[in-house]
Amino acid sequence: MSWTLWVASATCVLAGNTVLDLRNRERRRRWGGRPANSPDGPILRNKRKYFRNRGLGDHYDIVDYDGLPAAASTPLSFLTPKRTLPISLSHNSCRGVSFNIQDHEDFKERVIKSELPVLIDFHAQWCGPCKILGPRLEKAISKQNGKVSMAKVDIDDHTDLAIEYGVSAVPTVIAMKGGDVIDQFVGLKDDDALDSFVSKLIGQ
Amino acid sequence: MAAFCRGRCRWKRSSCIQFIRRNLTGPFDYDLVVIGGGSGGLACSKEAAQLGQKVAVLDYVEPSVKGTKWGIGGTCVNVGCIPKKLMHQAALLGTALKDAQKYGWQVPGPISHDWRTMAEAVQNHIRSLNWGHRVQLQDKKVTYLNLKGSLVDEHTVKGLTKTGKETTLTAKNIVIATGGRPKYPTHIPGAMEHGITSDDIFWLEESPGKTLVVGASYVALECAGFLTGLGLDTTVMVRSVPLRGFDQQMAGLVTDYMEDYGTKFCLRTVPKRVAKLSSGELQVTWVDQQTGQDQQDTFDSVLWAIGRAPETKTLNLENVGIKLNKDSGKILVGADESTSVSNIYAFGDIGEGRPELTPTAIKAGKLLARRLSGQTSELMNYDNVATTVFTPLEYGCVGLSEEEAEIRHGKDFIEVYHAFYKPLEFTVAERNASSCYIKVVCERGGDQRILGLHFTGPNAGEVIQGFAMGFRCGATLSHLKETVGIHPTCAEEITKVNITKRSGLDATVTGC
Repeated sequence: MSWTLWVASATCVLAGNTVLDLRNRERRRRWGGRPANSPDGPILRNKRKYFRNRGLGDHYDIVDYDGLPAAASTPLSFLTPKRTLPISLSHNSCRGVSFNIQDHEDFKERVIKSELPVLIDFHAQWCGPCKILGPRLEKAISKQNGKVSMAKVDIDDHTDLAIEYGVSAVPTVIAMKGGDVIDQFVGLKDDDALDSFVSKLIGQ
Repeated sequence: MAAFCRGRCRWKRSSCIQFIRRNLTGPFDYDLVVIGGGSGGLACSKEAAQLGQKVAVLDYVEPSVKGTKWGIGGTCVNVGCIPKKLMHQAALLGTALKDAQKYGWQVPGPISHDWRTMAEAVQNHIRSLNWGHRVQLQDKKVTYLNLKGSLVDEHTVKGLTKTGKETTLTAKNIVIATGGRPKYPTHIPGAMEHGITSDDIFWLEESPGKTLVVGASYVALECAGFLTGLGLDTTVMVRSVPLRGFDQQMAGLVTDYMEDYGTKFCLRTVPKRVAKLSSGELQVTWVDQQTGQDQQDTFDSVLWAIGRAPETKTLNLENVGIKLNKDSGKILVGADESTSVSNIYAFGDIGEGRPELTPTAIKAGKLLARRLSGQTSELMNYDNVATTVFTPLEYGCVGLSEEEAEIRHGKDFIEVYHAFYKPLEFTVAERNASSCYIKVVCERGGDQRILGLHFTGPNAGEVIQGFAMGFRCGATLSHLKETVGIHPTCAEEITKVNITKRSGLDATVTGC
């Protein structure tokens, strides 16, 4: 009896993961995040950091990678890093930050392509519980000392983005890593529940 | 070799799928395209999608002259019923606070109202409704497009973004539910530059201050009513009669109560000119039609509520062959909401002769969607729709007015039962109840079928809703008399009417 239950629950988890996987793949196709096993994609089984020129002139990004061949197609010049640090570099630096999303491009750059795990806080001006959850989330991420950042999305300003991510009620918080949705919840949570949610995201 | 086989099979499979999909929607992009995302448009599109059709809805809000714009949901949600009722409630609460003192509440000091707090709360609620509609469209798999739609031909719709980018859609059927917008009196100098309309009043960040409301429709009276209730100096400028189309005796009672409440009325006057002074105030010049004299006064805001015009100008209807009524500009529609073009339908405020109400638009939209899907042949019944005017003393009615009943049946063939009553809540509060009135218009002979029911009093909408069902069931006077009232309520007085107008007796209800 319990074995049947175990098989059934395992199937559900697998099915759920497959659905999540399919949705993530679809999102990556649309938003341009890189698949986990591509040679120049960021994989957060963190091996080496280096400066990589992404063909954007003076801008460089810290990129984590795994298994990149020695003769990389993209030019490596960490021996002579450029003088000016790009804005994106300061965002991915040690401090965990929370920021308001400005537009789709901003979301793509700072959330999908973020090396840090990101919490996405979908909220609205008219939502009472959102106003309570907001400060709690800030507290939870500040405890992690820069290991996680938070993107705040006002669903009235960015309705299409919210609909894209299947938000129906607010507050909805999505945990994202490497462009993939790892976990999410809807509604208010207390401080302890939030701490464990964030820890789980970083720990994975 | 294996790759080659795999490639060929994939080609066969994808072309097979394309063939099936093409046949499901035929040669068109969609089965149904709805132009207009208001009460009617959304109801129709969601119903059609639920019945398996591929539906797109185009919604676009042209900003008002003052620049106000809003989200999906149409007039009702954004600049009509919803904010109106909320502000009406805000005004009623102000009156309730004054009454509360008589009931023993120790209300400290003079009570003042902060417009910003109320406006923000109302606007936030509207935004939550906009979001709710978007989620519902997503759930019901209706494609939502924020584009300004216009017709290219009977199966093609062109959509423009606000930057002017074009998209073309083809559809088997097209539904037009674009509604209307408030009219501006373009012949009055300064009207457009300095005045606002109902599109703007609910989205004002600051209080409108001393306001002149021009018009005597329910929009004008409802706005003037809640502005007065919030403590603002309000004047209503009436050209001829208040609440045209409604029972005139009831309209008189409504305006009497408003005058007693504190609203000023300028009867038989027409504005001539609006000028802005250096202080920022608006100087309005008007002519008294009885004396012919010009008069002037200054106001902080001028609200035009002189009627609504249908949104048809930018739809390119004439070129596609859709006939409009020359005077009103509304689309001529048949009983099944069809237009002069066979696969194009129109309903809601845009239809000629249709009541400008949300519930009728929603019901008509749903029935239209069902008919287009082949589920039913039921037509919308527009007769005897109950409605309520949310003035400070609310007026609810269902059926014919006394004047209309006299025209249709003859004065000798109708009997009018009436009563002046006093709501119990008004007694301790020492409020004036002289305008609280009930009128039942029925046939004189036979079963004495009820032709019209009219009620002024608190919560008139709630009272009349139940009686509207009885009306739909063909209630007669004996049904009404057999109904035992709930005590103590205002609604029970309707079941107790027994004095006729014809008798000439005093209709004031006495005692318990």
